[in-house]
Amino acid sequence: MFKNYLTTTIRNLIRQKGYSIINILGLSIGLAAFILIVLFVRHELSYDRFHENANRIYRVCIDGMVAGDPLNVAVSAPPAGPAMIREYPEIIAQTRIKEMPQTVLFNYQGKKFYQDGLLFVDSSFFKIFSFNLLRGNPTAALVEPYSLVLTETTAIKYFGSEDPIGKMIKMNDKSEFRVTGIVADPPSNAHFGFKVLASFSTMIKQNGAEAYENWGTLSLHTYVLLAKGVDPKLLNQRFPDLYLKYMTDLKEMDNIRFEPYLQPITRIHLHSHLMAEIEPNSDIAYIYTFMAIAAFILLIACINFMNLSTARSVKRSKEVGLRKVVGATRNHLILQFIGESALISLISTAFALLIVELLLPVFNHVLDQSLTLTIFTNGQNFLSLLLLALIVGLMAGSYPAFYLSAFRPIRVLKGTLRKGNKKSTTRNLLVIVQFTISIFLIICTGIIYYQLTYLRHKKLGFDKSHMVIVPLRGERLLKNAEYLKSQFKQLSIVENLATSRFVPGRDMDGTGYIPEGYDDNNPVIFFTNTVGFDYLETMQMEMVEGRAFSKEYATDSMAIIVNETLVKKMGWDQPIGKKIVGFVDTIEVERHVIGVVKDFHFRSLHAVVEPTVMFITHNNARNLNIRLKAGNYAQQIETLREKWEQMEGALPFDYYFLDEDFDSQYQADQRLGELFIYFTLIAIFIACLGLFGLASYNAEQRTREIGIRKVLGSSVEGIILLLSRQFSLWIVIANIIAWPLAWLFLNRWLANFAYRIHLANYWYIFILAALITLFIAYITVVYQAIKAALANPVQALKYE
Amino acid sequence: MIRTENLTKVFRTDEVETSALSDVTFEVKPGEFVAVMGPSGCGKSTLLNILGLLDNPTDGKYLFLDHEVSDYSEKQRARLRKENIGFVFQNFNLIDELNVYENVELPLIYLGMKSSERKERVEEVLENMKISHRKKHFPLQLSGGQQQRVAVARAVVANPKLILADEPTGNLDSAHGEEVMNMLESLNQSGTTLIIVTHSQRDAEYAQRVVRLFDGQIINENIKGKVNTVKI
Repeated sequence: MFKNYLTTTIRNLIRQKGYSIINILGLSIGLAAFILIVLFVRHELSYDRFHENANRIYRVCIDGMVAGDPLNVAVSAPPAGPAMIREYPEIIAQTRIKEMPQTVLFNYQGKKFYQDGLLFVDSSFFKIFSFNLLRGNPTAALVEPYSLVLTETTAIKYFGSEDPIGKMIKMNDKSEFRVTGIVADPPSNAHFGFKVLASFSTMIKQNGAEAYENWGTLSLHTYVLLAKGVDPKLLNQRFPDLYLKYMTDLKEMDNIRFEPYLQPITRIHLHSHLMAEIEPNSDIAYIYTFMAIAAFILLIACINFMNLSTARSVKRSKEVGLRKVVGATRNHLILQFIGESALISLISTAFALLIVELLLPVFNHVLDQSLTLTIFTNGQNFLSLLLLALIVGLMAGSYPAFYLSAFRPIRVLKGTLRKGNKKSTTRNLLVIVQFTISIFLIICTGIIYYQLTYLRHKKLGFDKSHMVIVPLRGERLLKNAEYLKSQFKQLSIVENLATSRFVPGRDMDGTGYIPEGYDDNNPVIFFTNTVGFDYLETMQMEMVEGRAFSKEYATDSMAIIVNETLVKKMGWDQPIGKKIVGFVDTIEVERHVIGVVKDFHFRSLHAVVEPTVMFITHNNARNLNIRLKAGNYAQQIETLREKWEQMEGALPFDYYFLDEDFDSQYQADQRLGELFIYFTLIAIFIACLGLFGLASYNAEQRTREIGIRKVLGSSVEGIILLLSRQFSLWIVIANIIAWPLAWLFLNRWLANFAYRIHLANYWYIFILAALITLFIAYITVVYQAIKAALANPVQALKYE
Repeated sequence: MIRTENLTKVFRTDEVETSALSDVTFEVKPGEFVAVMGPSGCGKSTLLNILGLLDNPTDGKYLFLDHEVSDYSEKQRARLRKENIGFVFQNFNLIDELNVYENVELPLIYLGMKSSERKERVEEVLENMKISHRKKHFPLQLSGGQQQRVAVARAVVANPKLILADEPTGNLDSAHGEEVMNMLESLNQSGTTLIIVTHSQRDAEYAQRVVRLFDGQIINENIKGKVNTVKI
């Protein structure tokens, strides 16, 4: 019996090539899209689960309040980790992680590289995390000051085939570090990566132990390992006492509150949106969105299958009737048809794998991932894929199976089976579902595109174009900053330049201040950038009140410039001349406001503008901000490089463009946008494939009607209109359903941005989506309609 | 074998009620060869469908092999049908996707017969029908006469007690028609009960008895050589 079914299936597939191609192509593409998204989602969900003790590793975060503002950060105070080990036996290990915000200069026997990805970590790092230490002792490698553990790739970069263990590397032309271990490159599903690990004891040795005893600074990421069976909630309840015990003056500051809590490491990548994350995280909402898209696309493909199968039912009905006449029961036929769709689904899955294999490099490129297809090496994955194929077969095949098997044999054989359109309510509904999904995706794509464009083009309060940033690393360059600046200034390509500690788009520190009118015990946190003269001019920031820094005023070294948000927050009517007390190594420094700068966006537009201050210092010039005159970038960079090599030839010239760097903050959004476009195209393509099949079926079914109409005098246009009218109605209905859904979804998505477009202003995207779908559907349908309309009516009438 | 009492079939659409059969009472004994004749639309095919358990009557009794089947479900009818009845249609009704062998084999598959037994049986029937040289061909590659021979082969392959033929020669030229009728006659002679619906007087002459239908009623039963007029 099985053989009989199989031969019928295969011969049917071959005989009805058009339908088979549409079915298999649609299902293959749908499945390929689904598999790609599942690969991505699985990777996202696997973050940090590779750690052997993943369910016992927690990050210490702080939920608190400073000057009445809530503070929720991923960092904690340097002494917190060691204190927790002392106070709570349930915590069996802790490691602090200090990331270097900028690259450092590494020098191994004259091989100089600006090395990124350097973390200072405690010696218990490998006790907590399961990063694979290939060489060296996991408990001892990071104990001694000036110890380095390199990743495999980094080790090869410096040492090639030499044995790196015991070799010395010079950092920033100052201290010598000994390589004590080699670790495998961290997997891509770790929420933080690294290229070099250095012992935390180095920092203590360099800066003194006191530098890491301050409970008031939140500057390090702290991870702890709990003993088995410990409930983190119970620990959380005891943490406030820890602060009170060690930070005794906290009691006197009534508007400051620090409450540490434990955050499971496996929740960081998708659920954590704190300030000062170690690396940007993803968002579970994206995962849900992609899973929904995957399900949508598969649904569209399955609907095609259902529609085409039931539409073809008249062709298959004779077979159904005959099988019944010669003794088949309904169950026989249901089994046959479901088996048939399972087979088609399996064939499609094979094609889908081929498509995935071909598209994976592109997909990886867009997502910046290195996903691989492990179907053939992993039995479990193979089985899940097989299961997917069967489920899809069942999903797509069950409705046609029940529909077709219900035919009454005599009606089929007598030819009185109702033909075509009358019994197509379900089919129409399914087409409407397909187009609802397509329209939804089109609208989302449009709005996401506009929001991303808005982000790129919104006035930031400074001009990010034509700006080149040259990081200054190491003591020598820091000291030479003024000289470098003056030399570059002589170049004709340079319009203006200035030094600064921080660069927009990268992190900026928040520091405590006591502004005029505030109590000594209640510092307020302001974002702080220390800058050189000319910074505001170079960045083309706009002054609202007062003036910018100027060398002509000797007092400007004690001056401070604030932004509008700060003025608003302090409630100052007359900001100029106000006093703000800051601290330099616990020494109070009093500064006076000389100007108010128009709000500028230092961080991405996801975040609101915070109260910010800027003042002049010369010993913190970490970056040289160069504004170039309009011209050929490549040539200008060459000129800068030549100048650099004349002055600092021993060091490589390193630079980046501010606009590119700033915009890279929207990479995750950009990816979302790109994927939306791709998957929308796929969804529309599959839906149209189905519509094409349905339209050709429709035209075929109505051949006789068309013939009669033409004999009676209908024009070709009249016939085309007749055949396409129905589709237009479906699409109008689909639009009516899709619009509010898209509106709700996009409203939620836009809420993620502190600065966003107003959805209502983009009403025309909704109209456009309707027109696009109508147009595409019309093109799809009209081909069939014209074919039917132009046919010789005699042929149509002979058809019966 | 077959006995009907006051068999009635009414077709209803939204507004129109059409009576296809009314009060048809007749009997077919095992081994008989009966022809049903009448003008188009007189209810011949409807009667055949009911007799063949493809449809239920609206009213009246139908005893098939002593089972009262008029209110059987489709499932019950399907069982009786596949074990006892073979069908031959005017337009052959072969499955285009299956070849000759597979078409003939189909009823045996649904009877759950083993593959080796099936093969033996199908070969035998194809041989009898003189079509075995065509067993790998598909229906569309055959002439009408050949197709109908395949259809007859399919109808007899399961050794049914009753064969129902609906205009078996309607789509055939006279030579092929005669060939098919001879085939059916020889089946009848070997003991199979046969009911055919036909327009053709020539075909009817093969039968032992002719039943004439007009507007859904039997108006005349004609046993070879003698005419009985039934009162209307």
